Amino acid sequence: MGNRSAVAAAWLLFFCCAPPSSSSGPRETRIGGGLRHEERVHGEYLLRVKGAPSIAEIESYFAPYVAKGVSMIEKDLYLLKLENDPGPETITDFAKSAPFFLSIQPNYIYRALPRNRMNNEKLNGSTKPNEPR
Amino acid sequence: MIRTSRIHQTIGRTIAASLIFFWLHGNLLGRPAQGGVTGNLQGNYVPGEMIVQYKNHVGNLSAAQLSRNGGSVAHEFHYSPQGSGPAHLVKLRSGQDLESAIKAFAANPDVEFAQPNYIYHAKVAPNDTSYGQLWGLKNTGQTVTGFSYGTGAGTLGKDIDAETAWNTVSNCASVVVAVIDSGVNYNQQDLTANMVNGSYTCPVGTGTRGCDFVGTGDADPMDTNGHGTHVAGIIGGVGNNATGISGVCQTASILAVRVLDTNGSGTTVDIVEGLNFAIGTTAGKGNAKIVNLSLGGPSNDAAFSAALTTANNNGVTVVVAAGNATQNHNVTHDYPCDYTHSNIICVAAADQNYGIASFSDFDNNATVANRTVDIAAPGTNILSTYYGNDTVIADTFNTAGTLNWTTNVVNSWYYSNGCLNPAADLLYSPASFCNGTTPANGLNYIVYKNFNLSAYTDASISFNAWVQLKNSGDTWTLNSASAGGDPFAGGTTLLSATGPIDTGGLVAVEDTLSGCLTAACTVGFRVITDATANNLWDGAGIAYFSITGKTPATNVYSVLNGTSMASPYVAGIAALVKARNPSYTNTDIVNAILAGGDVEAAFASKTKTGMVADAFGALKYIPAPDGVTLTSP
Repeated sequence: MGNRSAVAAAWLLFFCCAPPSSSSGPRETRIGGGLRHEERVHGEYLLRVKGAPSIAEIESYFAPYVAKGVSMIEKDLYLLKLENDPGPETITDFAKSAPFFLSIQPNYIYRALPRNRMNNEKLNGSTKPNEPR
Repeated sequence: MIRTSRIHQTIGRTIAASLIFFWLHGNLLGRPAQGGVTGNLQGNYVPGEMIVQYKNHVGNLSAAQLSRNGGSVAHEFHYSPQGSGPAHLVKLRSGQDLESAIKAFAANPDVEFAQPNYIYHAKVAPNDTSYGQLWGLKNTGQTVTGFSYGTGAGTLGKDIDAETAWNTVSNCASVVVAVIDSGVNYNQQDLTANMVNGSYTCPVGTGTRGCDFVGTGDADPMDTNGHGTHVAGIIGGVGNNATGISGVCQTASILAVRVLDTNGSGTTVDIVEGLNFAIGTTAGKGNAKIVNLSLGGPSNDAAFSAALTTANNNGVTVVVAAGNATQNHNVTHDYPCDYTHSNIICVAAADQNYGIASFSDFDNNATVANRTVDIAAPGTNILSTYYGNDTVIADTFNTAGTLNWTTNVVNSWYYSNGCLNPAADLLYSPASFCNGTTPANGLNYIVYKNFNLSAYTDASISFNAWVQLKNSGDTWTLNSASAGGDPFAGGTTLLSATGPIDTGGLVAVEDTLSGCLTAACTVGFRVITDATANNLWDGAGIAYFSITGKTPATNVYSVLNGTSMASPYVAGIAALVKARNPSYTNTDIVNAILAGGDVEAAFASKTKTGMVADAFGALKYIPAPDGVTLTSP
């Protein structure tokens, strides 16, 4: 039995949410000390298009994943919301075959960068004393 | 002789007081910059006069000839910098344009530099009541009241040299600065006079102070987090109004662009829409020339990058925060800092002694030119305007050592102050989390508590969590319920995590409770284990739990730390430079800031410039003339 070696977890690296197969959660899983996963809004993608497709065409193409809505962000750039999110890799492969496809990416999450909770620094050393590692 | 090439020269600092010149020697001289002046000259200078410094190979006679070509030699300096040639004060001929004359002289290869004969005044500190706390503007070694970083004290002179810069320009109102952030409390007493007051086409409706792009958006960019208001105050808090603080710009035009929610989070869509609005030049758009982005994320985001390219094409300077994870960008990227657009300045945080702040990101790439973190600025113990009052409701989960939260199963969630090292009040489940046993399969353990949030206009939840779960069917969840009772019976899921996962220790978690602003509001946690065998020690623990209720106010200030606070210092300097030199391009502004900083050893291997930004240094920058033709005798 030895002391657990603490893994410092940066306070920015947190959290979040629903299983990937469900759209009930607000964001994808993001919890984990030392993890550096990309953050994104679950079920939302930014689709850049060519050839001026209609919103109905875009919705129709993504029907297998139940498109909940398509809205224009700027010329040739649309926010695509899916009921069933297969994940970035799968949706990218699927989208590449669309005649209007230029690129697709997750709707990433950004955070403000204040350092106003300095107590977190001392917490990074927390251990459960008796847990073997 | 005809010259048409760009000229790179060295400018010496010339400091004069009320028309009296003093050549200074030593380390004030020889700061690299480029010669020539372009654009409309701003600030105080003697009309029709310029100073011409010749290179050391130019003799007195030829210098006099050259100077007379521009006008009459009014004064010959007797104390020139060592290694330099003659220097003259030249009076221009009647009707001769100063700007053109300086351009022409600066293009002469025999000329070290040519510049206006500036007028200086005795320094006068602004009368803002908390000005003495603003070490970033003037560091007297003061201890900042309410400090939360280090000792709160600093080193005399380690500041951005604001007072000297203000002798030249303190009014940035001609330059719209977009604060793309959590909004701005535009009613704050030290901000309201420095906010834009226009007619802006917002996602829904017409805004006067800017727009809100969070979610469906609206015309009200009011800050409900506090972050954006703090950033805005650093850039453009009203100065010399006998109230509170002063920004880097004492007078300003702040455009509020809300892209981060109450919890300080925003998405690509929010940011791209907000940025496109801010830099747009058509009717109803922001028409900003300086943008501050005190935000970041780990993803290389093509849509965000494309919007920054548009900003570059529109001549907009974008100042961004490096990040607060003590992260080396040569190893781990963070954006927008790591985009390579030439209009981006990425800013690290300096402490009150001009060391690098312990949390600040940096870049130690061996190829200095490839470093993405450009420069540093004050970023610890920064006093600025704030959204309003934060009421912190802390909870330690116990009364006299006994759990005081409601559980759905007896002996499912526990309180302990002896599980963690160092000791902390801990809410945990199941017992295995602290005693090293193996949790049973099929657990569904809930714990919750009522918090009356009816008095607040917004609220957020903050705690530290340690989650370790083995299987994909094992989950940890945070729920809230505005109607009260068990938040897992009809409540709202705020956060959850599924196995396999082990955070390896406590990690900070925060989220909004904006949907639970009722007297009955309950907040709770749940641990579920599936039918697959678990590991020893599995479970979840919660520590340092608090809820922050928010109420807006117009007279609140706060001390914060972060590269978020460093970035707006540089954005403010960029606005000063642009205000003084309206014709400067964004490239000129970037060059001015990166060339005009103070060299600090702590940043030599951490940033591209090894400097901390300096307002006066940036204002002295003179861009090289382009396409100038000079015929000399």
